[in-house]
Amino acid sequence: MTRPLTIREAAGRVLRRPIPWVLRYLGAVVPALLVAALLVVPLRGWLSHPLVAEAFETRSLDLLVDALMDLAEGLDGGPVLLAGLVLTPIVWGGLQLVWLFLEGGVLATYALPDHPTARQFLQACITYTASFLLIGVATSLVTGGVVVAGVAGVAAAGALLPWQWPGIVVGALTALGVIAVHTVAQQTRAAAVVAGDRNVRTALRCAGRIFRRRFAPLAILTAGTLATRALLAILASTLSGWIPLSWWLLTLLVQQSLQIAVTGVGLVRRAGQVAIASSSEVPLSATDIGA
Amino acid sequence: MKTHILGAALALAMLFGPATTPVAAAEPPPDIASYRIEAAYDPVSHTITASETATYVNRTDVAIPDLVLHLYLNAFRSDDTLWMREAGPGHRGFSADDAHPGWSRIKSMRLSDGTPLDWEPIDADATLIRVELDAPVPPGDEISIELAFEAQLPRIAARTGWAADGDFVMAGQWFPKFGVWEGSASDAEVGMWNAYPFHANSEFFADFGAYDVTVTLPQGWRIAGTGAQVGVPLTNDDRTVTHAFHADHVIDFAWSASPLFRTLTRQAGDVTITLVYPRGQRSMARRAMVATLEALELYGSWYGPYGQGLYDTLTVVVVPPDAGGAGGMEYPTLFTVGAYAGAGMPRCIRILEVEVVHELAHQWFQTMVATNEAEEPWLDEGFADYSTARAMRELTGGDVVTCGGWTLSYLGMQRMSYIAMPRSPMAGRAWDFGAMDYGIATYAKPVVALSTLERLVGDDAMIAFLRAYVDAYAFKHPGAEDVRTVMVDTLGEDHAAWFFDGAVGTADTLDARATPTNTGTSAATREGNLCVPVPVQVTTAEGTTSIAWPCDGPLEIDGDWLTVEIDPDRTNLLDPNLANNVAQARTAWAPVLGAWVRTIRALQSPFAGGWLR
Repeated sequence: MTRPLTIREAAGRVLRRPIPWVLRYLGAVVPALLVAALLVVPLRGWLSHPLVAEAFETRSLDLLVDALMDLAEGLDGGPVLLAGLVLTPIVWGGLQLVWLFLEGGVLATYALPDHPTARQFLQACITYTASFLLIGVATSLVTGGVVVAGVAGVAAAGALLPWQWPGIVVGALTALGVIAVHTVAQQTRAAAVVAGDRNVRTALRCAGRIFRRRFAPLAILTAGTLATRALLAILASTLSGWIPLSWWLLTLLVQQSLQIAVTGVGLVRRAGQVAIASSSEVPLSATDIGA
Repeated sequence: MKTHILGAALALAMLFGPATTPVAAAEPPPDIASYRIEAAYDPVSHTITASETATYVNRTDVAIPDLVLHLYLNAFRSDDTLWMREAGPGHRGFSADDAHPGWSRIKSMRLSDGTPLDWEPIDADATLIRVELDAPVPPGDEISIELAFEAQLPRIAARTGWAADGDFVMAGQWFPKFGVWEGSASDAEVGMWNAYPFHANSEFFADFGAYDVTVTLPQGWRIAGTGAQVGVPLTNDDRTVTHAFHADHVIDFAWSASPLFRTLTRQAGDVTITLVYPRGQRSMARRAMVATLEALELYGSWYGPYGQGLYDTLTVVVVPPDAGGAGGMEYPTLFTVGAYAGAGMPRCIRILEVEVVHELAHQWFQTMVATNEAEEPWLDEGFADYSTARAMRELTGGDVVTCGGWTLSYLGMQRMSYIAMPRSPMAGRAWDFGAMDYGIATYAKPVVALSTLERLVGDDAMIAFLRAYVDAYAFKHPGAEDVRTVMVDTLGEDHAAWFFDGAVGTADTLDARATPTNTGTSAATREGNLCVPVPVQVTTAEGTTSIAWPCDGPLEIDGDWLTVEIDPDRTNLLDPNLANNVAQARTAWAPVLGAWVRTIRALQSPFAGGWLR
């Protein structure tokens, strides 16, 4: 019997099999570059104004309010700006579908013993799209329910109780609930790919089993990747505050380095969940996972 | 940042350190309107049953033919009173409850020798009554009247009433109170008595005097009030307790009580600060206490000692969450907070601190320098709010909001309001304004105008002006002309001219504008009649020069300039559009690319799937 994949080995595959990393990074950054250009170019006259530059540099809402007084005069290309504003949610929605489509291939990349071929990658993407769409919809509904219940709980605690801490506790529990829902959803996807079975119910049962029996490694993996993301976010925010707005190239290099790292962290979590799923399953072949 | 750290250190030192140096008290002002009141409050019916002896000393050289008293609570007796009609569906965001009105009824009135007195309402709502006298009160003489009255407090909508299912009461404007007798003719509606029916926008105007007040409450209730508690509360046979207060040299008496009150006490020099707050709001209370201690020290250093050394108590009432309408109000030696600052307000939003330092500033501007809030509301609110902007700048670096790395100062907040309606004169009676322009004319525009004045004359000169104003008119009733006189004496006629003739008295405004022309020159022009002289800074390839631009028409700049910037130090905050003060010959691309890069960052994370990607 083949030895199950360890989380460390799976994380190593993220580096050794960089296609998902490249796809996810470029898939986000290229549309962002283009949409950002649509939003910024029409405002170039306004953005080049010293008051506007100072407002953004110092993060002063006092100055930004004054700067907004002159926004109409500094606008050159209203339709382009409008196109940018309309495209932003459309691109966002489209990309979420792209990620959903790619998810099967990404997980298969880490689950297979060998680097998958392009055909295998694409086949895995196609195989799991419908199942993952169902999981995505269910996850959104459950997350919505948890958030609504949490907000109601926080509001009720604020209205009915004289103390602040019950609201804080309810809010924290809600956040934990959302993380748990998403962790189970992601584990379900990983379990489906590892088992080579796109039946959602079977995968969900498997994920539930893993959640109960392998809770510690799963929790450490989730908490560790979230903590790393938080650290990267703090680092990005701190560096962004230090670097002057006009040093745009340095800012771009720093922020994209961090974005590449953040993308990698997300993939390490996926690979780790594949490893956790594989430790409770029989070893896979390319045929098993539908590739 | 430096001031912020210093401020925090100062607060800690004041919280845990020894008391500061005692202050020499000023000469006490003569009493004019004094009251002795014995009141009992029933928290079930929300009624006050009281007897009152009110004494008025005629310190003018004109005999007083009759008396005029305010019965403010009658403004809340139905939804068709003048006050209610003016307030509309809500007063500053808080609505009245028709099912729980407020009213005040005089049951009997007589002179101190027992002679019965007749009275009649002056306005339709009886918020003002006239008392007939058999003989006028000669100059230098005094008159005492004894009256019995009953008042029902409304459910709190504006300043006064009850909340928390009856477990909280804030009694303001609760007793029959004299108007202000003026020795010369005024434009008030009742001859030389300066007193008006209660309007929704209007606050108060009263003479200084001594107050001896007892309030009887159920056992277990705690009370805070103007002045100092006297003696030990007396327990009565009917399971009630009588609390006694005394206050000297004050213009009003307010009290608040609740069985839910907790107390924080600190000493600041000779002043004992007592902060009462409802159970569950301890963190708010501590924030309010720190802000009070810090601002008290600041205001003392700017405007002279609290109460000119005549007040030794200061009470802060943090109102419960459902009593927001009673929060953010000033009374002599007492103020309330909690109007807009809920218990869950994050620390990066310092609205609570703003409310504290604003209401505390009223202890100088209105409680002590007792301007007429009905006829010239900008005088007290404007100077108090300017003080708020100054104090916030000292205490927190000026920032009211510091969330997500972005900051908004109190001055910036008020300038934002001013920009929305810059064509509001500051001068005007409270009821001359609608709810929106009242806020701008009395709060926002004065803050902006006084801050502009400060930037023009410098901080030391500004403080010298304000201190001279307070010193000259403490325990008096100055008007705008008196302020102007002090300004002329301390800052000069030129500043007083643009300030009063432009910003205070007219709707004039000024938009300075730098415009590139098609002949290769640039013009600096002013739109509007208000003029504040500012320099124009011109940058060429050779360097930067500053050109004086007096109020004598447009300015044309020739040559190969790179940028033309009017008022580069942003002195004139009355200019509603500071962005058009700059003209550039060429687009500066670095900030555009910087904005592009940051927009990429803002889009990239959600595009990639967000935090749980």
